[in-house]
Parts: sequence; C-alpha cells; structure tokens
Amino acid sequence: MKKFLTVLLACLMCLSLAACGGNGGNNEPAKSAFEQAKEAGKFTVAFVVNGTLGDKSFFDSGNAGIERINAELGDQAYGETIELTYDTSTWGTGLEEVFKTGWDAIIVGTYDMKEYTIPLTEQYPDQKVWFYDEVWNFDDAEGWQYCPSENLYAMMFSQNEGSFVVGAMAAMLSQTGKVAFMGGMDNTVLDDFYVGFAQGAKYVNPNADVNLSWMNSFSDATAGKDTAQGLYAAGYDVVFACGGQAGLGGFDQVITEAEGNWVIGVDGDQGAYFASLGTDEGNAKAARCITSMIKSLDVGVFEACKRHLEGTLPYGTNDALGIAGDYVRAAITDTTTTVFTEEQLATVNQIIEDIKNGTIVVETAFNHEDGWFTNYVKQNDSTK
Amino acid sequence: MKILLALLEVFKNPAFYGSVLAVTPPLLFAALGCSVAQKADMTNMGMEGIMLISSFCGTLAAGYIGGPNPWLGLLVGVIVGALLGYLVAFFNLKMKVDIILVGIAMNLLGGGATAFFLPLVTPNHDRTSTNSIQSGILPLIKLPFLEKFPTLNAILNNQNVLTWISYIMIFVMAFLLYKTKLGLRIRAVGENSNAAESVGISSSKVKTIALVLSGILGGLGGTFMSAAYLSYFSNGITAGRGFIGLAACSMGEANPIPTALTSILFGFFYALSNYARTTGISDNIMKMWPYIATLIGVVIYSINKTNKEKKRRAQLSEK
Repeated sequence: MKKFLTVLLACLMCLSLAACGGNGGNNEPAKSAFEQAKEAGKFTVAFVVNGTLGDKSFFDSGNAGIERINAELGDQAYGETIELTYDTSTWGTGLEEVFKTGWDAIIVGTYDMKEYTIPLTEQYPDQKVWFYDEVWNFDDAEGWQYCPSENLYAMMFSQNEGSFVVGAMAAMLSQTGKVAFMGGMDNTVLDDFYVGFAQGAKYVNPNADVNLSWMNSFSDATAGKDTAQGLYAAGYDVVFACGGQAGLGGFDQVITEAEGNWVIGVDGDQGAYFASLGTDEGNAKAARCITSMIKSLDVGVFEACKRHLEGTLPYGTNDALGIAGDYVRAAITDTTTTVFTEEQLATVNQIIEDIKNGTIVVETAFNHEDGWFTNYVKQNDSTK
Repeated sequence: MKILLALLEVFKNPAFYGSVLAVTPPLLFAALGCSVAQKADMTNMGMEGIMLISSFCGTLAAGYIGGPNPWLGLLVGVIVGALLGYLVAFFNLKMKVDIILVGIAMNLLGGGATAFFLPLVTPNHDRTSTNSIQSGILPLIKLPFLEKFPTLNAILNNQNVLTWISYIMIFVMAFLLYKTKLGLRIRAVGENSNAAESVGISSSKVKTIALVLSGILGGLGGTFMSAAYLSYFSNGITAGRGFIGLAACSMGEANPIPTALTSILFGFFYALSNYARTTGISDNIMKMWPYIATLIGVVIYSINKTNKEKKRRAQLSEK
C-alpha cells in the first residue's frame, strides 16, 4: 500500500512538473484585461464597490452601468468592477490600492467612502474621480470637508424627488393613514429619502403619519424582517424598505402579513426581480411590492463616461441627477397597475410632471443647519 | 412619561410575547449547544461558524433535492452540524490544537466558505442570498383549540415547529445532563478528567460526544435561521447569534435551565427593540439593552458568588 502511494505521488509530481514545463515556453505572464485596455489606449474606468455585488440594488445597478460601457463604448473605454467586501477595515487600503493602479477614472461613492477619498485626492491630484451619493464642498475653504478638486465629479442623485413620488403612492394606498420608512443606517442620503417620502405622503394625505425607523444594517436581512414586523404590527400598512440587502427582509415579512399590507423596494426594480425568479415565494413578494424607487446608478455611470469622452463632464461641481433625466424614478410593475386605479396612476404621472417643471419643489436633507432633520422628523412622525 | 405609556402598550400586546418566543430559538439552540460542550470543559467558540455552514448546507439540500423540502434541509443541517462538532473535537483532541483557535478557525471558515460557494452553487450566481432557489419553510404548528383564548392564541399559535423543538430541547438537555449516564460522564470529565479517567471513562470519547451534541444543536440553530426565520440563506445570516449564545451559556454557568432563561432574556430585549421602534425610543438605545442586561446580570451574579464564597470561608475559619 505504502509503495503504491509512493509511486502514485511520484507520478503526480512528474506530471505537475511536466505541466509547469508546458507553460514555461511563454515567459511573460498573461496580461490582464486592464493592461490590454491601457495598451490599446482605451479610457479605463474602475467602479469600486464598498460591499459585494448581488444586493439586487445599488451596487448591481452600478455594475450594469459598467457592463453597458463595455458593450456600447467598448472601442474607446474599458470598465471593471472592484469589490471591497463589507469588511470596513479594508476599505481605506483597498481604495488606495485602486488609486495606485493607474485607472483613468475611479467611480466610488457613499458616505462611508468619503473620508477615505479626500486624502487620496490630495495625494493623487490628477486622478479623475466620479463620486456618487455625497455632496462635496468645492468652494467653502472654511467649511466642513473642503476639497477643492478640479478632477472630482460629484454625482448627486435626487433621491428626494423619487421618494416623493413613492411616498405619494404609499399614502394613496394606505388604509390606516400610517406609512413607514425603514432605512439602513442614519446618514444624510437616507435622511434625504425620508424627507422626500414624508413630503410626498403628506402631499396626498395631509394627515399622514410617516414613521422613521433604522435597521442599523445594510446586510442583515433578519434585522429588516424584524423591523418590518414591528411596523406592520403597529398599523403601518405600507413600508418603504430602504437599505440594500437588509431591506429585503421587509419582503420576507410582508408575505406573512394579512392582505392590504404592502412594501416598496429601492434602488433597483425589486418587484420585477422577485417576479423574475419564478418561485412561488418570489411571486408572492412581487405581488406585495407596489413599486420601487429606482436610483439608476447605471445611467449615471454610463452617462458620466459618455460625457467625459465628449469632454463635457462638469468636474469640480455637484451634479444633481434628478427625476427629469430619469436618473431616479418609480418602477411600474404588474402589481402597480393592479393595485392602483387608472385615476391614481394619472395623479402619479401628474406629480412627476409637476416635479419636473418645478410646480412641486421637493425638500432635501442636504444643506441645512444642525438639528433641521430632527425637527422635520418630529413634524411627520407622531412617535418621535 | 409618553415613552413609559408607549412601553406599557407594547407589554400589553400579546403579539409581542409571541415575537419573543419566535426570535429566541436560534439563541437558545446556540446557548444549549455551547453549554453541553462547556459541561465537558470544551468551549465551543466555533458555534457561529457551525451554524452558518449547517444553515448553508441545509438550504441547498432543501432546495435542490426533491424541490422545496425543508425537512430534508433540517436533517442535512443537523448532520453537517454534527460533523463540524466532530471536526472541532478531532482537531482539539487528536491534533492537539487549542480549542479556542479551532473555534476561531471554524468561524472564519463559516463566513468565508459560505460566501465563496454561494455564487458557485446557485443558478443565478447570487452573491448574497439563495433567493433563486426555493428551499421552503418548516411548517407552523396550528392549535385550533387556542382560538377561544385570544391572548394565548397570539402568543402560542402559528409558531414554527422548530420553535417548539427549541423549547423542548431545554428539558431534553437538562434530562440528558443530570439524569443519564452519559450526562454524568460529561459532567465528570468536565469537572476533573483525570479523576474520570481513573475510573475507566475515556475522556476524549466523552468530550467528542459532547462536541457532536453541541454541533447538532448548532445545526438546529443554523437551520432555524434559513428554514424558519427567513426562507433562504443569506451571507452572514446568523449575525452574531452564535456568540450571543456563547455569552448566554457562560451567564447560565452552562446549566441548561439558567442558560435557557438568559437566552429568553436576550430574546425579550431583541423583540423589544423591534416593537419599541414605534414608541419613540431611540433605536440605538434599544439595540443596547440586551448587552446592558448581560453586564448587569454578570455583575449581580459575581457579587452573589463572592458573597457566598466569603460566607463559606467565614464558616470554615470559625470551625
């Protein structure tokens, strides 16, 4: 037995040596797609995800934008997605690594990544950065997080406008007059969602009660499920589940609740996603999802690349990407057309038009003094 | 005052107590699992990892073998849990690796391996959850006769079958540890393995059995997460419940009943943090409560223990 094993192992070693020899003819290591694109003189874009793909929401949407760049602008540009995972301790070094690599443009975003990005823009002043989901301070030298970068383009999605629309839809459908916003973690972008959502609900029903709850996680679906359970139990019959993967827990809860309780998805068209799974459970979830507030990072990423190549990308400014350019919108699924009457949908379309032409001015959580948001919540949430 | 009234409102709501019972089982399984290992003087640090891996394997089995078949998932989850428990024992007893290190390795493996294999084995190459395979949910226990009593009905009716099993498990474990030969041996080995060896008990065999039992309970807890709590596996689904179980176990000194009561206390505060959202208390404060309760519990416990010890010494010195 022992002898047999020895012979076997010897054979394996010979084979593996032979295999190495086979490769040995080509001494240069294979070039990565990035290096090939660089050599071909293409404009290279890295999309840095501070999480992992597969959230059916924001990051996947950005990745779709990268895929679209490769498909439609492939002769001039090359894009790649880099995942930093949810381990926050690696985000700073991970991002620095991407800066060192030499991409022509780096797409990064969210509140958490801003503090890592600021010092890197000083260290690599020529690096083009497209930052999403944060307002940047380009002018006020005395102000908070001053960053006078000529090479930073800030994509600011007007989530308040999209949330206004879904807030109005929620209030139309609510029997109890109580709707809830279930956010991932307390930051200004998510506050901005709430501000629009509450204003939209009040626009339709001035007496609407709009709860604000935090799941304190973007990744733990059980936290979303439990939060939603508490909300439905307290009579909030439409819940806006706004927090990546954690928010998906709201979908798990709503299918165990009685008829007449609804959920609203975020970032991607989550209702359509669940319907596309074809499972009974997926269908049940889709049937309770009245709409999703789509934040089209894919459009933002693709348009930014296109505009850069055309030389029209406004660096050094905060670019508001609103409902007018379809950067944010409310998804219309089969469920939407079933649960809303035609009149109600017409009203929704009217609201969208009014926001576009400025008849309705949507409030935002940005650029206010301290304490403004707390007061705003108190006016809209009877429990606070 | 408004907050107190709102809290009172929560405590008057029977559905709240139903929720306490529904969120406790994963903590309870983990805590009981840790306690049976602890009784044999084996700290099962790897509970979190065992739960994650068995939850993952159970969900895949339930989804892929015979359509949605959660019972099969439960079986596979338990078997995988038992195997992992054995693995911990093997590395500690045979390979002489420190038990804490094995536990840490198990937790890292649990988080990493499940995230790695998830996109490889799901049809849509999902990165975060197994939403694209239907693995089903274990049945709810319906008790029609309870419908006459609305309060009890809201608390006990329509709980998952695994929830009931978890509470039954408290008494099963208490019986096993205190009324059976195996339990006696586990405790003997845990107290003093040399003494146990001297009367012909193989301590490594008993410790292995204890860890396998611990793994089985971890498997039940893991399966609860993906076949009762949620209906799919998602990355990091246990979210630290294995560690909370470990804490409950050490607070209960690894005795099944106190350990179970501590787990229920954690479950109580967990459910409270969900229900109290609508009362106007800050979510962050609510999230702190289970841990504050642990701290207070540990302090009270250690004061009691030192007092007893002092008394005992005083008595001894009088003699």
